[in-house]
Amino acid sequence: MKEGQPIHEQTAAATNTLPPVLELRGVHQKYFDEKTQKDFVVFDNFNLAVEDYPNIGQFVVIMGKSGCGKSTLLRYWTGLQRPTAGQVLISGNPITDDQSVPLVFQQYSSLEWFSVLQNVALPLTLKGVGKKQAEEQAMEMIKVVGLEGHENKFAKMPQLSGGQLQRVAIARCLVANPNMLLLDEPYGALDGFTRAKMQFFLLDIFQKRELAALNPTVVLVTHDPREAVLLGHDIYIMDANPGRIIKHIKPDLPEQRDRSIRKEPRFIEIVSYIEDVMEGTIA
Amino acid sequence: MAQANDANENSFGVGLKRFVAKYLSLLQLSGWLILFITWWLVTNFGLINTHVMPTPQKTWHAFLDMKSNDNLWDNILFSIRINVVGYLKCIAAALVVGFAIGLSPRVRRMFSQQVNALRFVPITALMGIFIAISGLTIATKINFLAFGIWVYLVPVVVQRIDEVDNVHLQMMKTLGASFWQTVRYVTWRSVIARLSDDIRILVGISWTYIIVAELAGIQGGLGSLIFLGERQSNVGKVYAVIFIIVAIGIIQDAIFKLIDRFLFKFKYQ
Repeated sequence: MKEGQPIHEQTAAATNTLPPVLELRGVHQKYFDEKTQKDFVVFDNFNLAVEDYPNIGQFVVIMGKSGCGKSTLLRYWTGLQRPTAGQVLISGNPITDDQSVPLVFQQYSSLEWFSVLQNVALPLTLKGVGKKQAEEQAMEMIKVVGLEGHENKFAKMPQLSGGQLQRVAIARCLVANPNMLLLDEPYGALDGFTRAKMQFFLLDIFQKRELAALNPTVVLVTHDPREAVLLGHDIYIMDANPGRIIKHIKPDLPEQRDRSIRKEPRFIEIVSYIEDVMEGTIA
Repeated sequence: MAQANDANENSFGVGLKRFVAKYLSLLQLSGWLILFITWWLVTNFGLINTHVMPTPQKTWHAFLDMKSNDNLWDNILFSIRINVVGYLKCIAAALVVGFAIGLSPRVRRMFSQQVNALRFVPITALMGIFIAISGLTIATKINFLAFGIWVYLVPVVVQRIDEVDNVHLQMMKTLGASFWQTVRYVTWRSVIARLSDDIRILVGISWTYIIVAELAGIQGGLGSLIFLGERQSNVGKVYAVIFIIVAIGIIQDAIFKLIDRFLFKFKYQ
């Protein structure tokens, strides 16, 4: 990368021969607006292909203003929503009704009548895994997310903090399908300090040997440019009316990152660049 | 699955202690004492006609009289039995119908209006119809009571199903749960935990229907004692039975709260 050029902007199609790990082809989405009595178009021929990097895993960040449809993208891949038209693909295959991709929601989604252990074991229970095995696997994941000692608490406030509840959700997703994790502004409800703490937790999780070996694809939707640059290997910036990708950025930062990276001039430069793009001062 | 949380935190004993602290504190008892003194004053000093409101002494004597001559304990047990059996029948029927309407859009479209309309039926007027259908039996009285609460409970069950947190339902879908798995792990548990409070509150209504049912054909129960008191122009007896019902209601309420605390520990943490 040349000096003065803060980032590598990806504009051309991927040269990778593997099918994209996540893909949307020719997606149209419209809603009927009761107030205006008109169709509201969210996507009009929207295309996105998230490259698959074999053997390394990837952390993809989708950013954009409110209403640009970034959360809708995650709803497509999880099967919670179908587009009005177009194709939704995972690893080159159209998604099916019986396919499931776990998602960490912005709201706390753990079942408060279950313990942390029961919540984390839930995906395995649903698949018919025996109780003992499910609990053992869940316990492993609870250790990975740093909730050891909390496993018998009910998954609710004030038994657990907001950050801990989101860790439960992350553990539940990872125990179900550890090679894919979708996060829809999971720290939106947290205060600034906890949010920063959780960002490093997520970075740590992604870089940990046991998960890194699974080459996970993590897709995070966020508003926060600092969070995006800290975590993302690929950053997609969206605009609205209709929703579209206006920039695909690959920050030239080390693969392995830690807290100190936030003070690096490069990091600050890229964050500033993204803020400019989002404010519309850079085309 | 592992038992959630420290069992000592929610044991029956702790619940009982909290109950005693809540209902039998000095302040609570002084409230009852003030009411009692007011009652004593207004009746003993002739501020209210004692044919309308008897003195506490007369009410107490009526209580002792019923205890000696009217098989009071048997009649109390008779009413409690009708209440408990009727309530269990009602809950079972309300859950079946409520879940059918709440979970199936087709069933909802077909029957929700009719079930909602039932709430406006004057239930007490139906006692005669119940007797005409199945005779003047204890089972008829139980069914009448069950129906009287059922019409209120079914819409509540449907409402509780509608109130199940959407994020929980979506989370289950993203985990690949089937419809019935979602019902089992989310809808049922969410609804039953909230419904427990609704059931407790409806206990108050149930006593109205018990008395109406027991007034028809004297077969025993507190309703029949009220009927006898009115026939004998013994207003003290009527008041005594009313106080007994209030006392049973308070105890029932407390028992429901203890059961709720035991079954749904997560609500109290």
